[in-house]
Amino acid sequence: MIGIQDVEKTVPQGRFSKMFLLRRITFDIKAGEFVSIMGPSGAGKSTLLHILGMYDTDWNGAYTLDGNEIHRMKQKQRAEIQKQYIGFVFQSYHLLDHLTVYENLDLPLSYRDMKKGDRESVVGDTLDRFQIVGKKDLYPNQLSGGQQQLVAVARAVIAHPKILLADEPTGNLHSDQGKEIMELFKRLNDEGTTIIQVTHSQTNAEYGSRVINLKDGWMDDDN
Amino acid sequence: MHIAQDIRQGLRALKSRPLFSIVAIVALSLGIGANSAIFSVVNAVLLQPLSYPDSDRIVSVLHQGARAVAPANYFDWREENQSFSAITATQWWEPTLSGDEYPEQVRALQANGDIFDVFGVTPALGRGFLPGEDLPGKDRVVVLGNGLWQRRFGANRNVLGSTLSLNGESYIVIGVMPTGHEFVPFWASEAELLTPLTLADRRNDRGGQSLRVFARLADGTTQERAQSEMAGIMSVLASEDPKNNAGLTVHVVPVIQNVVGDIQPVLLALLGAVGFVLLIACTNVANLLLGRAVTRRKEIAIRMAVGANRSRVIQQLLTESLLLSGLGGLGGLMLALWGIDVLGAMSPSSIPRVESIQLDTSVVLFTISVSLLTGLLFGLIPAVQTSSTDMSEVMNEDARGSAEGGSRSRLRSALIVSEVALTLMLLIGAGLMLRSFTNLQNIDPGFDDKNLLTMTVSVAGSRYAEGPRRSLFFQETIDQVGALPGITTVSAINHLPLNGDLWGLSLSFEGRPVPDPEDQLSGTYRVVFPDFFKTMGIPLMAGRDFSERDVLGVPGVAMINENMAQREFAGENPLGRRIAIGNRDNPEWLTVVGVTGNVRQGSWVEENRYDVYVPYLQTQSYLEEASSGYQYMTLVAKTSGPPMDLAAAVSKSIWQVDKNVPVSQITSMSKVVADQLWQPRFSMFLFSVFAAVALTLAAIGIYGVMAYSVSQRTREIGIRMALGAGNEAILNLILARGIALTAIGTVIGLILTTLLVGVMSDLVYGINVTDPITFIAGSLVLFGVALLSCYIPARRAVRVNPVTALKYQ
Repeated sequence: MIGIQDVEKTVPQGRFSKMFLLRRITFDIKAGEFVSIMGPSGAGKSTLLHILGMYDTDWNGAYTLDGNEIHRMKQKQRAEIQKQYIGFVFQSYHLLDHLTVYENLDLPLSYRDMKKGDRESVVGDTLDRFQIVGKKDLYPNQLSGGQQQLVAVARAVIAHPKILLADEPTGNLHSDQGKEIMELFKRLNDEGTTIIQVTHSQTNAEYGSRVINLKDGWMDDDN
Repeated sequence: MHIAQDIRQGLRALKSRPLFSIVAIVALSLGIGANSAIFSVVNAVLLQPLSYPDSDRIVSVLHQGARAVAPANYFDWREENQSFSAITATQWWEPTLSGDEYPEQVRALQANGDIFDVFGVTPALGRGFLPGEDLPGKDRVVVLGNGLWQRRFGANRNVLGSTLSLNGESYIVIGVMPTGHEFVPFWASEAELLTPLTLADRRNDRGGQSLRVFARLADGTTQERAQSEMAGIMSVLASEDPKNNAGLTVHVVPVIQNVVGDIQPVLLALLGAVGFVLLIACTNVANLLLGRAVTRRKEIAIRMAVGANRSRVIQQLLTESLLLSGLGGLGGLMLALWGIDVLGAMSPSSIPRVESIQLDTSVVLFTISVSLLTGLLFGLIPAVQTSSTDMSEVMNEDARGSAEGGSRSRLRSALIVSEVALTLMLLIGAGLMLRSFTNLQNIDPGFDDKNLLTMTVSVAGSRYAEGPRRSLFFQETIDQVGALPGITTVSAINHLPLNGDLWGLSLSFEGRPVPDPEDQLSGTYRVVFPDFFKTMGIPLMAGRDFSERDVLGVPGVAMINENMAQREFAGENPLGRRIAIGNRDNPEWLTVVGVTGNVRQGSWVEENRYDVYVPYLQTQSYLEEASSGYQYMTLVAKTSGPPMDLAAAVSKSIWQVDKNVPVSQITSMSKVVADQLWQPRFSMFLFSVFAAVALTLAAIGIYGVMAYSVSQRTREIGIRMALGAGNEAILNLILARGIALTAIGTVIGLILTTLLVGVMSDLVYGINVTDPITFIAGSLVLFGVALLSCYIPARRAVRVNPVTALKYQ
């Protein structure tokens, strides 16, 4: 499903030199896999995740997604593919503070030009599925960290992305809440969603089927 | 489309940042409200058509664009033209209306020709004039204005066919005009009744220029064609009768221009000024939005991460801007409602159509359009800027709270520079108006307007209308009024300076050849009773005042003003020299017995006029002629206290001489002077208000940018202080940026003002529009305010605690 070939990412350093954040990254991910990207701080994990999520467009190499050659696409085409395939969960949830739970969930659907009636039905289903119907009119600051991340995951999957990317999804949660989120990921993976997470936690990585280790921008191992 | 969703979320976003929202809405309300209020005046006064059918086809046909026309010329124009479908000649008239009730001097109009066809309005009751009713013997019919009909006749529909007395003559009421109708739209718009004007005995009179001619353009004829044809006719008339017509031109002018011509440049300048205020408000709000954009980068990035494309983000941000401008528009409308009341109260009735200034549909539509445009203007650049957020950077958790980028900072600086430049332009405009007004106020009108009561007294139609009784009446009236407690001196004049007719009569000088018509000198003709100069406080420069001995039968005397004495009798003693007024071919010589100070006669700013005063008791026409123009005088009384307090007592005293004599136009000379200065006072006041609003907005804008800059640089300031920077160094660090931005804005503002200030040259008096003192003063005021706006955030920077600051981020 995902093919990454010799992907490199640099940032300028001074006027004449550059620093590599990623070097010659190459791997494939099949549909339905649950992959964890691990490594020490500064290894390039989040950078790689942002490239996979198409939030970062300034890199070299080849990236194929379901037969689409992302590296050859213009920004507008990438945005369309991104809408179709990618859901993203952030470490610090990134819910919009002035929108209710319901409105946060509705947002991705409205950006996909879904009709209001259809949106209501999808949001209703998702609230049910994630068991947060009672929270739908609350604002993010009225929820606990775990509840916020639950809503963030719900928001990430509401438009039925084929791939869910998660950047340290339990980093800001205590262990019970983290466990809940990881079990939710597992369930989503069992239902067919491809999941790629960045994590420091060996426990979290064990929910997945494969680990890609990065070190100083290089792929250390893939197992 | 997701407009409802965007609006809902936008409203919530505004609510979540109340201080930002309030500052933005107040700034926009001020800008939009000022524009709506001034537009309401422009709309009512300049843009609305006159209330006559096809009013754009009605023209005035006058000599030199403003001067009255002689009957013979009018008849020739009427017979020779092909351009007009109807033409009429009108003449001002102030007859005494008497009947069952009290006598009253009414403002009236006489018309010859097709006045009802020219203006296209027929009476609401009864009929207009029939052909032939402007011939002698058939002309005793009258059409009433609606106001007079209601006021004097209780809106009685049976008034048709009844008779009323004008100057003692009986007239049959044949019609009543509709509500609000003006017989003519300018010059005599206050006329309350209309009678036919008989000109049969003046068919060949080319000297007595007393008519104002109006016409309606024929179908298919343009103003330019009519002008060209009339100019051709006039050149023939000039060649046929050079004595009366040499040098006279004819101008065909749409009456709307006659109505609004004087006020138009003032209103357009004010509209420009409020436009600047709105631009300043827009730059302020754009600056606020740009500042806010930094704190919203995360939100925008999240929106894009969950699928929003750039145009959706721009749409969302623009919706918020439009919500702000919409709320600003609402506030503006409320301000405009109040502003219209204030403007209405401030505007003297001399502003044409002032009564129709209101918050109507056009003003509301204008406000909505301005609000939308404003929302786009201040919202677009911040929206485009904000939507170009680098998602990867923002999504990186470490990058949270990063400062604004260089281009955004440059844009904010550019906005401050433009705000400063615009404000300076307004400040200089206001400064010029202020100095111009001071110059006008410092003009010496030549008389002392304090404690002077004036009123017009007409004997037309009374038992004193005839011959010798007329002068007896005025003399007795002056004696009666003079005897009242509180009255110091009293006298009378035919036409009051600055408030009456300005009869200019040709002058002849004994011993000099009769000049060619185009070189003929003329002077203002004033007929006065003794003590006029003393009452008015007009200085006597040489010779003597008139006395009771200057009567018919003794050699005629005259007084002239200083200007005429100096120019015509340079190096000589004018006393004892003889001059004649009017009749050039058979002069009646008058001996100059006195020289008075110069008096502003026609307008406040008009100088160098020749004035000739003659004694009433020695002036045949005023003593005996039947024409109503000679049957009224304006009483002037010097009082020891507030003049209007004595108005009732003076009127009563006049009616003790004869209760059938109308007293009208009761006013104080101070009011007459104030009316002369309303226009510059109006412009100066509004310009000053707008400049003050602009200055406040600019100060808020500069303060906002500097305060934000300080908050962004807290860590840097902390480090500098930790490294040993003193208060002065930190203060200078912050002030330097504000001063630099203000200096650039000031230079640009000065250049733009120099380029554009020419449009104000017709609006100022006694000052060059590029007056360096005003330019420097405006710049200094702006600099002072800008410095203060920078100083407050700079002081805050000085109080930064390095330990706290270094923990910041």
